[in-house]
Amino acid sequence: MYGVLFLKECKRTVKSIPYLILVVMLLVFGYTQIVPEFSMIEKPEPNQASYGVKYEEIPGVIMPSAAKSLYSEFAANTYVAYPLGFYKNVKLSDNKQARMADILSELTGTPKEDFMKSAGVKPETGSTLRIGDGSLMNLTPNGDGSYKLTIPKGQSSGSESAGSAITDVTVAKGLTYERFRELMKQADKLIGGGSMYDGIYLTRQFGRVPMTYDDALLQYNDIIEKDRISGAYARVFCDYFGLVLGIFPVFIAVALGMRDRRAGMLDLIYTRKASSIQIVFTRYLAMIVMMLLPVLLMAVYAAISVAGKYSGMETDGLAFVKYSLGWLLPTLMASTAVGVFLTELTDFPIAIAVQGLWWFLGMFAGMKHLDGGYGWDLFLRHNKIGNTQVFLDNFNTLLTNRILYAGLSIVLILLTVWIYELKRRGKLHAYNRIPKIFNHRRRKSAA
Amino acid sequence: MSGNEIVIRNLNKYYGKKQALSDVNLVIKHGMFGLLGRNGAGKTTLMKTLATLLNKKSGEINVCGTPIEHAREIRRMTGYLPQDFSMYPGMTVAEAMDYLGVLSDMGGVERKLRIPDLLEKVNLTGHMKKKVKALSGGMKRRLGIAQALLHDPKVLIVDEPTAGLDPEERIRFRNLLCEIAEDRIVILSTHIVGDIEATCEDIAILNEGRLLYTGTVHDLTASAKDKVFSVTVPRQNLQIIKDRYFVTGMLTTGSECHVRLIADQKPFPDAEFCEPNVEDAYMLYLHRNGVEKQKLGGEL
Repeated sequence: MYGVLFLKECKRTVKSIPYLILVVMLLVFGYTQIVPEFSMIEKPEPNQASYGVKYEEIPGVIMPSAAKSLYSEFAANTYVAYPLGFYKNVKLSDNKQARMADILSELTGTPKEDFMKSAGVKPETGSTLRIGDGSLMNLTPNGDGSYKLTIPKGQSSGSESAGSAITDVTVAKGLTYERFRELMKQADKLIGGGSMYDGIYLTRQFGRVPMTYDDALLQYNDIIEKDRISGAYARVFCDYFGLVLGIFPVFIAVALGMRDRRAGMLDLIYTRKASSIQIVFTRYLAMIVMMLLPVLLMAVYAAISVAGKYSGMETDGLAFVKYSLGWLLPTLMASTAVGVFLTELTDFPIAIAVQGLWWFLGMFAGMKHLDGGYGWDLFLRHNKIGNTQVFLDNFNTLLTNRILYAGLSIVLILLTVWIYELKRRGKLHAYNRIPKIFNHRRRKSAA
Repeated sequence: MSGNEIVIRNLNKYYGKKQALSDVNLVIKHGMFGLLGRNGAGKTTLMKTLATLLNKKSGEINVCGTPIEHAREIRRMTGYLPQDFSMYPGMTVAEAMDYLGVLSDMGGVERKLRIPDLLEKVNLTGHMKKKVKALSGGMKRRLGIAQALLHDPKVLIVDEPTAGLDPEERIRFRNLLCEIAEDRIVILSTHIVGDIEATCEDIAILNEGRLLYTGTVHDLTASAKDKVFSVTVPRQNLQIIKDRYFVTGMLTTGSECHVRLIADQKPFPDAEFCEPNVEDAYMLYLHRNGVEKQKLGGEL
């Protein structure tokens, strides 16, 4: 029964318009945008002008660079952050700026007052006002509603007095890297999280160093030996397709999930002998297989394309398929499962909004590690051909992530089975519990 | 407890605080069984409960020896034609039948033999490749019967199947049900008395979730004996008669009106006794059980 039902569900999936749109999108996207972007990886030669850059956790590189960046943001009181993945321009209160000055002071060994002055942070008493030429004036209330404007001590009314910038920001002698990380963490917390001083992103942001010939050669050899060329391209392939599979499957899951109700087939199916687990799992499996099919088709096409590009060299013919299954399948499973679960639970296409939001947040969150590095994102970014060592260094994170999403999908489907069975036995009526705004969709009891 | 009957004991069902079925006790035997009641009487609730689509609050239901709690077993032996029957509109008749056959765990060979056979029985052989959305109302109902019989169930539950059908289709459908009922239990739920009269021997009357009557059609009709009269009255007296008696039919000709009514005693000297039919008896039963005249369509 499973086999025949599976084939019938596959047919049902294929006949849905959202599925056809997905297929066309995947094929066109892959054919016109992804595979043509696969540029040739050249072997580095000695004495090249540049070998590109790499990111390494070298305290001597990261610490001064991060300190300068923090000071520059402090002076302008404009901190860039990505809380929940969204870009945000953070402006701190005077109080927080003062605490930030403490951090900078410990970081650089420069007195806090200098930082306060340079950034024009108001003194403890009274207020300051920056006037047209940029200089600061003290603003003191007279008590009768009027204010007295005075030039701060040691400052003339000239433009040079507007908080003279600290030109040489250097890291304090004796500051350990561990303490530096702690200070950066505090700075990130003051900013509200998601800043470039967040521990995970420090190296990505400030550990940028030029690659040497040896580095470039090592990277090239990794691509040739460890990736067998194809792997390096397969990660970019997964990067792009992950974006599509992080959102589009939910449309298909919702469309097919609501089809029974729309067609008035619920009672006919509920009263059949097939168990709820047979129905839900077979439908889910059919959707997954049918959606994976065009991806695999493009994977084969990409593999042939790469093999053609490197004729005479050993490529991994199965790399694209392996990466598709290991990297993309959990994304596909999760976004489909969200659609299946929420549609069954609510009898409403709410899953599209939920998945859309998740995808949107994931897009921004992924910006921080676009070239690899991964994290807990639904779709993993690796928008650089090669970067083999980053992939290998973070392989365990990637593996855990993928297992987690595959597991989450199975759990969601098991919950769907449970809900389906409850509805089948008349123990749950999600359709009638939808808020009043949707009341016009209710079906009156025929009894 | 027989393996060929449905036994319902003290069945109660609630929708929130509203009681939809109240202490229903019923034994349904082999053959056609009619469930009669007004709209909202609880017929569909009872049918859906028997089809495992609704959960009972309390009581016992045994379908051919199997407790209703064993849903999968019940589904194996039950065929169900819902009131609002429809199928995937884009599928052909054969495809829809095959899909439901697979969900009923039927093998490929069994489906290949049974589907054409059933479609022939319901006179849809020539429409196998037609899309469901292209079928007429009557054809859809016949397809509904065919799908319900796919897995050769012991029990067929048919909810308001003739509503909206033209007289010819209705008669054809009723005859089909009688044929089918020769070797199984068929429960026909309807508010159309004519359907019951033409097909069922055993019936039950439901009203507001309570069982008002169980027994044969003959006994029900007999209960109205000597209570049905016909009389011809001037047209202007019609309203007085309607207020005082239960009028089950009237035919106006010119200034006179020929009225069929129910009364405990002969209402007028010139009134004549009539042979009661199921409709008369049904109306009398409802009235005796407290249903107001206005609720019975305003005439009784």
